[in-house]
Amino acid sequence: MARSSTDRLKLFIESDDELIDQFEYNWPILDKYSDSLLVDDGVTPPDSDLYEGCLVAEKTSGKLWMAVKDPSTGLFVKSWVSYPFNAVGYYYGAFDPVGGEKVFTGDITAQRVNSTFATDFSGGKMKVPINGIYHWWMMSDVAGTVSNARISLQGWINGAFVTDLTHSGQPSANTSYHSIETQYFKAGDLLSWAWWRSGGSVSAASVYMGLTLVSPVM
Amino acid sequence: MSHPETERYYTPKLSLLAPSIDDEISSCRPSWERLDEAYSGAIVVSPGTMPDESILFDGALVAERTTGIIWRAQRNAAGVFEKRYVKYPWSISLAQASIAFSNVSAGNWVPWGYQVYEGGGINSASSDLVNNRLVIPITGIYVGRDKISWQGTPTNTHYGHTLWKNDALGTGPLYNDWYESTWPPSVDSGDLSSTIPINEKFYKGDTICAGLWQSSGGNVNNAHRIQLALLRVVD
Repeated sequence: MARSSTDRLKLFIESDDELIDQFEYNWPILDKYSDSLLVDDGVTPPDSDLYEGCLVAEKTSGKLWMAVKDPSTGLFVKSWVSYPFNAVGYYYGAFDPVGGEKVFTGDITAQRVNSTFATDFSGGKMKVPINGIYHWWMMSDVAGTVSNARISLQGWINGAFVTDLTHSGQPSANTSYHSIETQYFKAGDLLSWAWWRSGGSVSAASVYMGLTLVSPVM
Repeated sequence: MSHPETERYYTPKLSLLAPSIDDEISSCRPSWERLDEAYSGAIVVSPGTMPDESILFDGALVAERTTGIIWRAQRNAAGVFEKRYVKYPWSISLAQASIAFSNVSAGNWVPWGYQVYEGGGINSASSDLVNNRLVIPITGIYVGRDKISWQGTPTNTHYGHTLWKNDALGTGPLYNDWYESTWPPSVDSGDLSSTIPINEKFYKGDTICAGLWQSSGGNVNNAHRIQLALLRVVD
């Protein structure tokens, strides 16, 4: 009896019976799809390699997704199981509370997890990479002393002021303000910020905004 | 997919070959079908659908097609398959428009609920808001915050803000930490707010709202909002 085995799981293949020989075609398929498909980072296998429910793992990014069919198109889409993501944008400069929505001038390289400024910021606004529940935090460090005035750090989503994120207080020298939210965002949502001040003046300030994916949805 | 010329049959998902020209070999077809349907990857179903028991097995992964929810099947003591969630994306935002709060006794806590399901969350619904309380959907570790924005201008007044669970003032260090008192400064007597961070295990069916008091000064309006997300399923 001639014998052979599949490459990865070493599934046994009988080959001395014509009909049973036909099963040989099954073993490589089972071998291929046990556990998950491994691909290089960012690679999407061709549809011919996918089936609904197939798990696909990127080799070094930590990303894991499941192929499911979009009910409206019948095409495969990625349903993320694991997607490590972190980004922190910053602004350093003059405190300028006039002019509405502000943007970031860069991001903190050391805090990047599957992110870059080029891909995850659009026009200086932080761009949500995939649908999911995120921790979203902001911090403003005001380097000045204001008397009889209050300032606030505001969160903006898709060009609209989000009232509930207003953080208001009366600053003394080097006052910091923090705000953190945990909420659902959709892929492509744009996050930014603004200042508001009731009076007085402040010379300079810095603003940071962090975005951490807690749980991917689709 | 059948191939009459060869009497061969291929399973629909993995295209496993299941010949049918020999009785004994044909008897293998159900095995190939089962492997095709339930062994590789996950069983994909429409949201809320429980697959037929004939294709489930202990440990089978089941993924809902559009919600992102994934669970594994596990038999209970009665032999019935139960859902043990692996991934359950869930978030909610509930609010109450600005209305007057009239309590004027320090430490005299009053439950303070929510009236509006705001949408914008994921896998939550207006049915999660019952009798002005947020009802926890599944047991897990939740994160978020409850925020009160006082909109009056009282003098010599301070406020307390905590979280109520199951219509009782909480006890223990977490709840004590959630006590927050605010004394408005003279320069900024309006628009004060207090925010309670929430990071706690809740059980399915727990009901959540805030608890408030204010010390004096008559009625003071406030706006109220909770945002909560499921961090990890405990199942």
